[in-house]
Amino acid sequence: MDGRAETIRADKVTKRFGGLTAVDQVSYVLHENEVAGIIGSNGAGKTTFFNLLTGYYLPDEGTISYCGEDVTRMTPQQRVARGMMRTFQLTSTFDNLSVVDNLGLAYFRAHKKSGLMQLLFNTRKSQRNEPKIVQTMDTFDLQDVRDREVKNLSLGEKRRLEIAMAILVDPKVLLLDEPLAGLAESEIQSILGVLRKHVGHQTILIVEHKLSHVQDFLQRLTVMHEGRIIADGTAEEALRHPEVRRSYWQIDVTAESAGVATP
Amino acid sequence: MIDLSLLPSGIIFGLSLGGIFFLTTVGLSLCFGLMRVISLDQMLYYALGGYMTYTISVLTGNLWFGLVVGVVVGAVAGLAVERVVFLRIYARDITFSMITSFGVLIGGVGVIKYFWGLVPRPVTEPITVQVNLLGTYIPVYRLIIIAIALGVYGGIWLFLNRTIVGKAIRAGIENVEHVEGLGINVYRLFSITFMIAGGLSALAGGLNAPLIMVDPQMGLEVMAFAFMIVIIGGLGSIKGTLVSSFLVGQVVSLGSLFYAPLAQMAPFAIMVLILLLKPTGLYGSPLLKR
Repeated sequence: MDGRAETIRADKVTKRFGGLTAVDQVSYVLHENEVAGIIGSNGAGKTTFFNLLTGYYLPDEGTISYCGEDVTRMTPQQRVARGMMRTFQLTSTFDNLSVVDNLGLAYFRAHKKSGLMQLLFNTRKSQRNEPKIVQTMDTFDLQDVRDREVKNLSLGEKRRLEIAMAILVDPKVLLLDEPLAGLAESEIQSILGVLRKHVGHQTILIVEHKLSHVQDFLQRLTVMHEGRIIADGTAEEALRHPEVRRSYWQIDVTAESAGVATP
Repeated sequence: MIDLSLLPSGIIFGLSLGGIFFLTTVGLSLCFGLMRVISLDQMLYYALGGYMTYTISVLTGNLWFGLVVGVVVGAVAGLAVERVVFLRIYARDITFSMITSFGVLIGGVGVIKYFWGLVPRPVTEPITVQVNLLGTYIPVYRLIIIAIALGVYGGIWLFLNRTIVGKAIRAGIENVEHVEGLGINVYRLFSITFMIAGGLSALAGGLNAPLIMVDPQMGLEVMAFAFMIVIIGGLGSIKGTLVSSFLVGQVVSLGSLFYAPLAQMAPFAIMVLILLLKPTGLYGSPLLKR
């Protein structure tokens, strides 16, 4: 694209579920520090594709590489160890642990060089005062709820916590699966505000159902439809693409706001 | 009618029995909570702990040393079975783990019979001192068992709530996949849990050895109680296991004061009653499918 290093490359990846081809010969390259998005209607294959990239599904055909290394058959855990971190559509925070403990789990995994003794005898106090954790709680506005158990948080707070945990792992690539679904406008703005702070020094790939939320945020937009990529470029370019215009009404009802005629 | 002067010693006996029950079942409960397996092989480590304590205390004359060796052997055996057996069946249905681990238990009992024979062996009580409590004499050894059980509960609580590894285990009890998603090696957590469980089961068997006689069937004998306790307490809950262990201990001990046959039957009646009132057990959350 513009000479930036590749992070994730998917090469003619196919995934079938019985007779249904959910992802059909998709090739996709994500570059370093790119802020990219994949949108598509329900069933367009975007979440399946996402699961293929992160190792939760094994492709039937094709390969996936990460920074030049073939990771097609690696477990999610091995991919995380290499710097690919994802979030889930349904939040994957731990309900019975406090906010600060959730962050601690993410943080200490990423810094596993710490010895066994430190893992065992790490006190609550030292965790709470860990500069990186404190800083993250500030950034994500979680200071007030730090000792609350996650089950008592609002959905917006849980999402913020989840993204905070993902960032604490210090990944090279941050993969966000519908991070804004089900949130109120103010919460969406606060999450995007936090993510903006990472633009430019973090590779981010977002899968979203609703384009209107992330359109301004994305540098690159890829549209999927029926298991294939039908457009790829800047948001304007992608939306101007004839095939997108044909199927776009299925993707987002706010298409008109993007200046695209709906059929 | 019941002789009231027996009541204090009855309660202490119940508590020490509860302590043994707790140490035997806490591993079962942890293994179910994190790995969603029913680890009946814990009853084997219980018997192994008893036999190691017997052998070492005969050889060296020191029961406490035997306990330590028993714990180590139990932990190593637990780890070995986890690596060789459970690792292959985590993905399968829960009943599969129950049948497989029952096979391990039966096989292990055979090994015990091979090495130690069929005859029950007595183990000398290390402390024969008794203290006067409200007019009845209570063996100090019973009090030590209660203290050890409570100490272990405190230790597990600190481990689960204050250490990163413990928190990862608690997180895993909630959702193993998401722990994996953070890049944490859950199989290492599984191994750690099995070692803790095996060690504690062996500790229970070793502590109980002087109070009963060690015999190859001792693990099978405690199994029904272990099941009952885990179910009453609520699957996967450590606190529930502690409470129900002491509850069942009391029911057995005090029940036998009233009417001896009650001792065997009453715990089952309690279980039925509690399950009717609270199907998830005292502290159990609704049974989560992984």
